[in-house]
Amino acid sequence: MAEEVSSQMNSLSISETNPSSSATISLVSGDDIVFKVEPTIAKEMETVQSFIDETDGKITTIPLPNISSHDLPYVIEYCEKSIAGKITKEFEAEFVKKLNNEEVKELFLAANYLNIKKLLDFLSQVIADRIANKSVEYVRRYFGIENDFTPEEEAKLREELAWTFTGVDPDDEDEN
Amino acid sequence: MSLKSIVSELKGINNRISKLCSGSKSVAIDVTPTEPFQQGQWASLPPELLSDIIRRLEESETSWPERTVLIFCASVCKSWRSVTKEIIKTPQQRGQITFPISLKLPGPRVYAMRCFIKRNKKTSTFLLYLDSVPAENESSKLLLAAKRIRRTKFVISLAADDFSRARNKYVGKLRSNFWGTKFTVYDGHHYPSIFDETLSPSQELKGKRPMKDSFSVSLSEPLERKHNAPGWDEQRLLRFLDDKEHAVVSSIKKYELLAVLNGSRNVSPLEQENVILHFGKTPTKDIYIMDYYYPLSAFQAFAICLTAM
Repeated sequence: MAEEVSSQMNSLSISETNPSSSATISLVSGDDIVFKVEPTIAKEMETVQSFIDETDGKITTIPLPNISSHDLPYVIEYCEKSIAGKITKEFEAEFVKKLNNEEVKELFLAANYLNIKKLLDFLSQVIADRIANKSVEYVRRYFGIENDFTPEEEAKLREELAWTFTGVDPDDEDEN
Repeated sequence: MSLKSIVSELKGINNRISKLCSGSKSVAIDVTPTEPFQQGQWASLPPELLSDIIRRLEESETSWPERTVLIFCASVCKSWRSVTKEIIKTPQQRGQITFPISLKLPGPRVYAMRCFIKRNKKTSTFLLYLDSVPAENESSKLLLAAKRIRRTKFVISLAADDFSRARNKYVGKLRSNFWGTKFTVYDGHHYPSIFDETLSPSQELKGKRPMKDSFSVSLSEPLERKHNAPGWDEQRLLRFLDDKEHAVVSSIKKYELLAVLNGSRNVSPLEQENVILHFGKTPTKDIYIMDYYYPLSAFQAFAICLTAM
């Protein structure tokens, strides 16, 4: 266990910058930037924690090739708040205000990859909120998805969509 | 210790974690971090994540026009359509109208699907809206439209401005005898029809009205009219009555359709009698209430109401 290694005997000799230090976990982003975090933060990231557990805490540097150095600080920030029990509606609102659609998307995939349930739940709701009442085109653009329907299926979809608008004014395209 | 050497040491563990994160390539830990931020990550969104997003929308967007987002989700691409279709509950399960197909599926058993009908005498058209009372800003969702072609014949369409049989707005038709005492509802089957996805075999609904204020219809499960039963939603009528101080409840024209399940099936006596349709005039001119239950669909209930117009 990580905690057991850092006994009083050798704690003085362990430098904070030593990547193999048991006191911190080094998360290495896809673009090779090292982020040092407390073991408690790593615990929030199930994927990272199971990685550590697999090696009985001997390995404390974890490569995360799918997460950029741009996104990782957001993930860490959320986990820190989570540990402190300070995930409030206000915090979440502020947190998401800073993020553009691309960042929300990347964090969502990062949360899935790291298996951080709370963050995943939260971002899933953010995405649901962001696509609510948007057009098909908007959703396609937002997710970068290509339309793969056949012309016959398209004709059917147009009828379905036309029906949804009956009695309703088509809503404006989103500003994004 | 260099990152590379740690990486090579961890190869075995990486493989195990990769398996844990099975699914899209983009989520697996790759020991050689080349192009970790490839494009199209979003398109390969793991299905469970997409399901989660759509489920949230299904639960939160329970009224129109907000509910259109679910139809949008089902129009994005094939995989989105199948995920969305899996999540959307039928009207019987959730009491929600989502896709046009819901108009031909049975309503819920325990509570009513509440609709109103707006009549336009000049154009001989009847519009069915999803709402217990007309919304103030006229934003109620239009479900179906009917036009009286002859005294005894109605065409039912998805759009208020298109009653052509050749077009794919066509939903079905209704014929009755001269006195309106017998009627048949025909389910339209046209190609390309937006109804052909998950619909049960075509069902013809026949019925007769032996008395002016009662109906009997035959469905796949035989039903017959028993008697007028209590259960009319007085509360809802009162909402109409608020506008018209002098209106009297007893003056409200109403019909009730009772279902009796025939045969020796294992149904308790309580379950044998179910109101499946309420239809009534309201104090507001040309506005009628239509509440329907299982096993009627919106289309069938609307057709039955038309015979009384």
